[in-house]
Amino acid sequence: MMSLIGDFILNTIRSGTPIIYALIGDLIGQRAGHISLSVEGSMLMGCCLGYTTCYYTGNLPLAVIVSILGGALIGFLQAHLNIACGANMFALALALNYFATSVTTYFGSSMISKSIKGFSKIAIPGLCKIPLIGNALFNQDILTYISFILPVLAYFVLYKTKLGLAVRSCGEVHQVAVAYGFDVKKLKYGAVIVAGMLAAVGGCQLSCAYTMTWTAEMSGGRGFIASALVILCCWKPLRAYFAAYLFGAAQALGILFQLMGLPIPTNIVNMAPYVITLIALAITAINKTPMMPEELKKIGRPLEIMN
Amino acid sequence: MKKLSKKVMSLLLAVCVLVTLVGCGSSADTSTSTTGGADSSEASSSVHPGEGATKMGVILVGARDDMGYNQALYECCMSAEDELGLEVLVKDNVPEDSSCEAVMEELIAQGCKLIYATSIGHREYMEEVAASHPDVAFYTCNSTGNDMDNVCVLTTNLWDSAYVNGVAAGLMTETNELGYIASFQIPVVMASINAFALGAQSVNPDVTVRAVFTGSWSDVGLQTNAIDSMASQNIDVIAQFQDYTKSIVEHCEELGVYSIGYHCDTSSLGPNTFIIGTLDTFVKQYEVFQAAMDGKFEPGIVRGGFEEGMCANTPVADFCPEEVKTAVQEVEDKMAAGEFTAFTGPIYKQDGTLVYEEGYVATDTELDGCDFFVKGVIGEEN
Repeated sequence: MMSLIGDFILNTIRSGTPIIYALIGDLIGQRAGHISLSVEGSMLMGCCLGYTTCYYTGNLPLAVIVSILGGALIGFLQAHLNIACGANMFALALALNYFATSVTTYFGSSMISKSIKGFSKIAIPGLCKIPLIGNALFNQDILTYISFILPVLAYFVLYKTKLGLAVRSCGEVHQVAVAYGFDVKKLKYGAVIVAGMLAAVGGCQLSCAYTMTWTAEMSGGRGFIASALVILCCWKPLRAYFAAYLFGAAQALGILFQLMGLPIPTNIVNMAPYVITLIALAITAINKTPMMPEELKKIGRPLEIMN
Repeated sequence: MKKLSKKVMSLLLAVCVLVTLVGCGSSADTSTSTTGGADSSEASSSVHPGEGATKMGVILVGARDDMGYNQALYECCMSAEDELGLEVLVKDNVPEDSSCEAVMEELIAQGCKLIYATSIGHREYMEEVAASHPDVAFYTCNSTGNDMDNVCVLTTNLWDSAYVNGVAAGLMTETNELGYIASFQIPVVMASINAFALGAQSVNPDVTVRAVFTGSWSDVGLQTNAIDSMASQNIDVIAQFQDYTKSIVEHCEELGVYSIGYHCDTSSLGPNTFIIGTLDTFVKQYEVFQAAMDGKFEPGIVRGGFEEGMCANTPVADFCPEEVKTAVQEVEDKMAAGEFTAFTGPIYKQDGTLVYEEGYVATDTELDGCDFFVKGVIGEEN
């Protein structure tokens, strides 16, 4: 039983890690007033490019950098076509996701049969021996360790720096950014590109550390979920821990319940992550939280019925 | 007043859209059925589909080296090149939408008289193409039902192979705990899990099989989570029903847990742990292709297990004891001779109720609707 719970915690962390990257990325973009559903595509680019680079060079830092470039490309397209050309951000994101899927399926096909030596686990002496949580928290790869501090970093940048204030003001009242002497357009571009970059690191973690494998469409909707979970966080970076690991836990619960042989139909169990996300979103919406950036309210305005 | 008319307008618009959609659906349906009907009656006259073929066209939904289903089918078709002297043209990553029709038309234009559309998702489009080319023989696999005169469906009773895998797993396990990573609770998957459990129990009555359904054919993240959790629950043999199998074999090798393969031979990825695996190799298909080339194409369904030559396994790994190799060989031989099938009664459900009585042999149709787990499988039915 102890080991089952230990594995449950491990699986929660592992399932949550790629999501936390994409979530923080998209959160930054959304604070600047732009939703990037294309983080799914960025993540996929990260998976594929990271794996390919790792296979050919064996150089892991380079794999992360190449992943980031791939994610940045998707992020740039999202930003440019949306901000400069005025394309609808959702339609655009869907197109970009299909683009990323096709490109990675085509160029990644030769990688499917290849094996890599990816990020190895670094056990922190002493701490990794703690029962239940030791293995999950203190015996991980470097990208997972970084994901542990990522929300704090994002919090620091967004709330404690002038740049962060300017980015946030882009999504609220952009005149503030102008008053501070920032170029609003550049800030928005930057935020959306960073969203793509971080999602790509999540993808790289998925293919080069977590599973050490590449297969077409392996991101499997993790980016979309991350994008939805931003709302659950109420656009606050520190809540990303809660949102990402809630989804991770719900996914891990599926395996836990099935291995315990609990009498719950597997289709219901496998539905849990999505149902929990939906419920959480509904609760957030009902609470009428005023946290939504002003710019986003213009897009996702609730229906106002006038009689 | 203005608002009301707006509402009425939108309602009208909605109705219009609905009517158009319904109209589209039905008209498309009728057109398919009429063309299909007309051409098939024409074809039945005296055309021999695939007669004198020198080229075969194969379309794959994925990459030819995906270490899974597509690679298995690719290798299978390429060996037809040597066996039958056919020239085989392969197109991979062909999507399962109407664009695959153009790919098939192109292959036919290049002189292919045999067309093999290997994915179930290609089938409806293949039938469209087949209707306009009565002289070309079309093949598809792992599906049921067929009423076209130039189409032949090749189907494996996968549970035969799963039973044999179970025998090997039952003998190799030390903890008597087996794991099974599966996708969805559909009949063919459930029947395979059952057969795997029955095979293992036939040599080791204390064995249990824990099934984990990931809700995906290839989510490697969930596969990794499931394997780790299984390994720490003392499960020491992990079998699978997944499209993407490489990650499972590799990860099991890393953990030192035995694995059972699926689709294609991945034994090289698990030199110390890969025991045996199911192969998507239709041994008999060469006969089927040859018959078509000779002008004796037979439409319908060719299906079966070891007995019909429609099923194959990888050889048992070298590190396995001789006892395992002989036991596997014995069952395969018995199945090939038609003396035994996986679902021979008495077979009990999870809760102990009798499903198939002593001596009763379940039919293919019964197994196509399999919706229960046998005794010894731990997993919840939907």
